[in-house]
Amino acid sequence: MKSLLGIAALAIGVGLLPLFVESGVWINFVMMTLYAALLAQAWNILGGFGGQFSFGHALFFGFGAYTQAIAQLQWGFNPWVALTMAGFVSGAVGLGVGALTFRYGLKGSYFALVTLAFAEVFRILAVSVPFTGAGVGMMIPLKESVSNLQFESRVGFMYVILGLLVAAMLVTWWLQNSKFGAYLQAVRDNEYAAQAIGVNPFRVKLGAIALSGAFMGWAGAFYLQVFQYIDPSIAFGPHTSVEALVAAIVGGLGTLWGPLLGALALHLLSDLTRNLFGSLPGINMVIYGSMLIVIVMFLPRGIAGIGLSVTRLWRGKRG
Amino acid sequence: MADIILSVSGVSISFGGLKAVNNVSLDVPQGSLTALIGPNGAGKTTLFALMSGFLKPHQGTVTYCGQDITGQAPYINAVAGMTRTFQIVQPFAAQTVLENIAVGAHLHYPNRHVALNFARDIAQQVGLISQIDKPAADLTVAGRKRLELARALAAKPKLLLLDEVLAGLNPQEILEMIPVIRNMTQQGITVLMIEHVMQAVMNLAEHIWVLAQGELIAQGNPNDITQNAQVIEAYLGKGAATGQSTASVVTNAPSTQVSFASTQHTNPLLEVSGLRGGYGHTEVLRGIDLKVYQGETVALLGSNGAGKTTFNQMICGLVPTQAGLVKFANVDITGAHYTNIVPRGLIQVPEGRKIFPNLTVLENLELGSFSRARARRSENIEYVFNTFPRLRERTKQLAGTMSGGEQQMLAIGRGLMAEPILLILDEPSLGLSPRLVEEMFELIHKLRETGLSILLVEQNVAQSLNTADRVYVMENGALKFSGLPSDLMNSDDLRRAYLGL
Repeated sequence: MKSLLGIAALAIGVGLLPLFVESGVWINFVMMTLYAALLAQAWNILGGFGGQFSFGHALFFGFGAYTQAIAQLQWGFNPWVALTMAGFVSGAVGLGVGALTFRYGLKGSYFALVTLAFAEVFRILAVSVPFTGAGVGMMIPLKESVSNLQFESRVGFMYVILGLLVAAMLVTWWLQNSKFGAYLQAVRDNEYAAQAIGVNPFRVKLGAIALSGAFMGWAGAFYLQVFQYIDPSIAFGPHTSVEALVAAIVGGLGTLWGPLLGALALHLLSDLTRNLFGSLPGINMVIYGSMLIVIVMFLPRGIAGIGLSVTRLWRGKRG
Repeated sequence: MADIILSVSGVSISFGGLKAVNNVSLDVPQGSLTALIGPNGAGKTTLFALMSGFLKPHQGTVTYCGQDITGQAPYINAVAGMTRTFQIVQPFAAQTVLENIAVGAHLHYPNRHVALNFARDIAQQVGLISQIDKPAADLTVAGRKRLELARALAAKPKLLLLDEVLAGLNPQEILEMIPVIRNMTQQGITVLMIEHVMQAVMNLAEHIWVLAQGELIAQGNPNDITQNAQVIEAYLGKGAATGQSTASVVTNAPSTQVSFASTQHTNPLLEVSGLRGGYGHTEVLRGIDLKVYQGETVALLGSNGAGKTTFNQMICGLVPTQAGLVKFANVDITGAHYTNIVPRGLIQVPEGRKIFPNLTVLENLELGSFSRARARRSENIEYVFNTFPRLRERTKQLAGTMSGGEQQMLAIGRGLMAEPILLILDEPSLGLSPRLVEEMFELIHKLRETGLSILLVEQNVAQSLNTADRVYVMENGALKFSGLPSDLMNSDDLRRAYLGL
């Protein structure tokens, strides 16, 4: 219950933000943080709750972005309809990848490598076939209106991504409070023990990869609407995969708030280093990288883990 | 005769060239409580895996409730009412005890609240109710065994396969578990248990199957089985055959007690005083004073969770010390790093063997001699092979593929490679068959006769008392008794209070 109130507070808090903050820079910062949080939360559903570490989540992101582009440009769909479709298409792709990999019991580093390979294969395919615009990529024309899912200011986009993130967090909350979530975490912790008490690991993992893929697809579609351009390396390149998993791991795997906290910390860190050391090109990445190592070293359970140990201590003191 | 709930007929499976289970047939009657016993490596756990669907037999069929389920996935069998526990406990470590049990409960209760409530009832039933909010990883061995049982019970099984749920428990804890298991049969659950604790098997089972080297060698009621010459030879060993009770074993006081008295004038080899410490904010040890003299074998007894393993870890530098003093061979080693302790000759053989499963036997042994006695490696390997001839046969085998008893030998052998001055053995008899337990203690006797000082941490009270010169009993992180084994055994109060005998 407390978690639901937290999610509601997040929605209301961010929703009211434009009343107090006028600076476009800050609104953009919030929007990009929420977007990164969505990537991380999507990855967290499969990686954090299901224990299946994907290195190629860009696959689902790319499918989402291309669905959004192709549905508008080639099939003439309304962008809102396209957005809805994007999630379902990526979810279906998740089912397909899951059926292939989990059926053969791929786990750990093997699963990670196969997902990486899938993303690469589709990056190359997207370069080669004509209906994705090949290497040139696809651009959607600028036509700002709410019905066209394009907004004059970033505030509109911020509301869209807020909605998607809240949906992803509600799903995560459901994972923490449902049979499916309990089964998923059981499979993560010990597949054999889970099977012995009636859990079908294949089906559970399939459900998780579909959910995870769907939210990744929505993030891809959102990306396209904001930047209006997609090409194969943006869509399927490793950058998005890494961004999703790093934020989830830094924030705290298998937690509700970890991905958001991780995305926030990473965005603050990267913007800060860029502004402070902008005159020395590249140095910001060095500092960013070093900070990442420090975070992972000293917070093995992520940023959300700090909160956890504090509550445990507090509970321990009382009881 | 009652209906047959599970029937195995002519099942075989081999791994590589080894026939792990060879043409085994048995019928489990509905509502019965039966036991499967046999030496380590006999194929008992493999047979469980074949029954529950974790492995598919190369030959033969498995029939459950009249239906052929050969090779059917374990989760489908669980839905049909057959669940199992694991010898090596498999908790969902990141989740709380209650959440662990709820996973089992979800099989029949999709609703989260209902499942959690049912899980709470089960926790009450197996005696875990006070620990339901703990992470499963924080439970003691006894707690984890209970959790293993609770999770299976929560799935409301018709047939429950229990794989050594009593291994690693002390006599008191075993006595507490017996009614829990009996209660399950009274609820109508058919139970088939793999167990080495003969006291429990005799107490609980109506019928016993004996497996050795993958084949059924005997079956019958408990009394017949204990008289069966073949079973005695393969499994029980002569202790059970001659009908020696635990008490009578112990009255044979160790012959070296005199020599112990004479060594007492010298300085102790290991001297621990006022040792305190634990993990984070939990203090596990509350002031321990303990001495081991040169050439002495000292037993440290106590229930699971008493702090024995923590004590070992602390003197070996694996857990930080908060207060107190540890002196080894007249040198203060309090709080020293383990890289400085091992080279001094204080060597630990850890609980649960902890061998390197993906290295060969020879490589495992070699690893024991890197920080000490490296120059005499080849002579020491020869010495270990002479002590454990079975290891010589398996030089090139991957250690993880050996049976539990062989792995324990390897773990001790690895410890011996460093030419220990004091050898700490943490539960060397854990999970071994009665016969192997006997062999293990014979070996400890042998090591002791070479003049080696040994600190023996054990659950096997009777045999430990028979082997040790002196004994300490630990309870809740403090020592409650120290003295001669005979003093401990001769006082009924002490025995009952600390040993449950």
